Amino acid sequence: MSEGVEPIQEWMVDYLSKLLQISRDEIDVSSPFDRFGLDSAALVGMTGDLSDAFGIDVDPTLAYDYPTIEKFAQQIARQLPARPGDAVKVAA
Amino acid sequence: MEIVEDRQTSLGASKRAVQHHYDLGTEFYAVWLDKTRTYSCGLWDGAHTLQEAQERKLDYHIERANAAGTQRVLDIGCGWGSLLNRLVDKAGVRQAVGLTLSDGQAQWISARADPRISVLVESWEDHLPQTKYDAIISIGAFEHFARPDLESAEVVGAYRKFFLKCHEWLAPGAWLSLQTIAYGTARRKDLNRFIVEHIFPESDLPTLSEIALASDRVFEITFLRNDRLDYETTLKHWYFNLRANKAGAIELVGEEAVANYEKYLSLFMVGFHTGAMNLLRIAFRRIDALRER
Repeated sequence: MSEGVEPIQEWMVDYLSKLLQISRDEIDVSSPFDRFGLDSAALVGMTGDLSDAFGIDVDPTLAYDYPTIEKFAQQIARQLPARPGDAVKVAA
Repeated sequence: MEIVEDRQTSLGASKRAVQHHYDLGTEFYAVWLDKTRTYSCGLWDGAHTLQEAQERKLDYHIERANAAGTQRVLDIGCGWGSLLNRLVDKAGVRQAVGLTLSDGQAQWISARADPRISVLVESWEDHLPQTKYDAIISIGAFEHFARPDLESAEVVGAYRKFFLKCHEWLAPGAWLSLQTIAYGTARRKDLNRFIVEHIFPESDLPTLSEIALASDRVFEITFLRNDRLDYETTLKHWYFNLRANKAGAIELVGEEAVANYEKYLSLFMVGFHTGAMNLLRIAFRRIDALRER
């Protein structure tokens, strides 16, 4: 897993477990979002909340081109500032 | 400069419903639209900025409607007047007439106090021009011309009434250039309830086939393009503009309204991205010799 992916993936698993009221263990990061029964409003809501949490601009259509947690997180990580040693900080 | 109140609307969205969306406050829209306050899909063919894309779109419709250098042009659904301004300032049109259902938009246009521009607060259904127009352009208004409770035949009937009115108002051989969102792969039942109830109450989208049927033997379609990805790009600019100026926007209209607009812009972006919705630009030439209907 490349640097920057893990905190995003963790945030998404946490977010979806709360949203769907299921345990984190039940969330497979390689499953398509529609497998979780997420509609378009839920997906763009997640993208917006993730943008706020990480202080970045995420395109609301990204989840349609990268339709799993794993692929989505990898793509977001590519957008993050790539200074060595920088950790991704999550807003409180 | 004159402002005339409308009498009634029938098959399309009511004035109240349209105001629900557009009268949130001119200043709020200024936060995320471009400087010309053009609230419709731009034309991005090589454009680098939102304003450039909006101006290209206005020029495109002026060209398709053969409006440049003419006496009188009608803009149905004139918004904050960017096309009216473009017509008289850049295209050499003598008189530009705009129709809107929004008092706020009409007041904004009237404040310019340009004798070459008139704005009427009335539905196209109530419009009674004394003189023919040399061209008609309608951008982003057709979406409000049919209510969602209408049967399919009534929808086509409502749109046909629009085309017949345009035919009546246009000089022989003149052109109409239309831009509208249309259903792509989606239908009304597939739309998010949030959009239906909160953003565009009392409005439904057309399909390309309804437009073709409604204009059949009244206008000939001479040019058609589907630029749905241009709308995705336009919405992306609006969405990130709004997010970048969120604090100011919240001060103007409150947190809930801003959250609703973020959601609406995002959902529309997805709609155009996936092809659930299309963005049609259609040029029509008036058929002068109508056959028996």
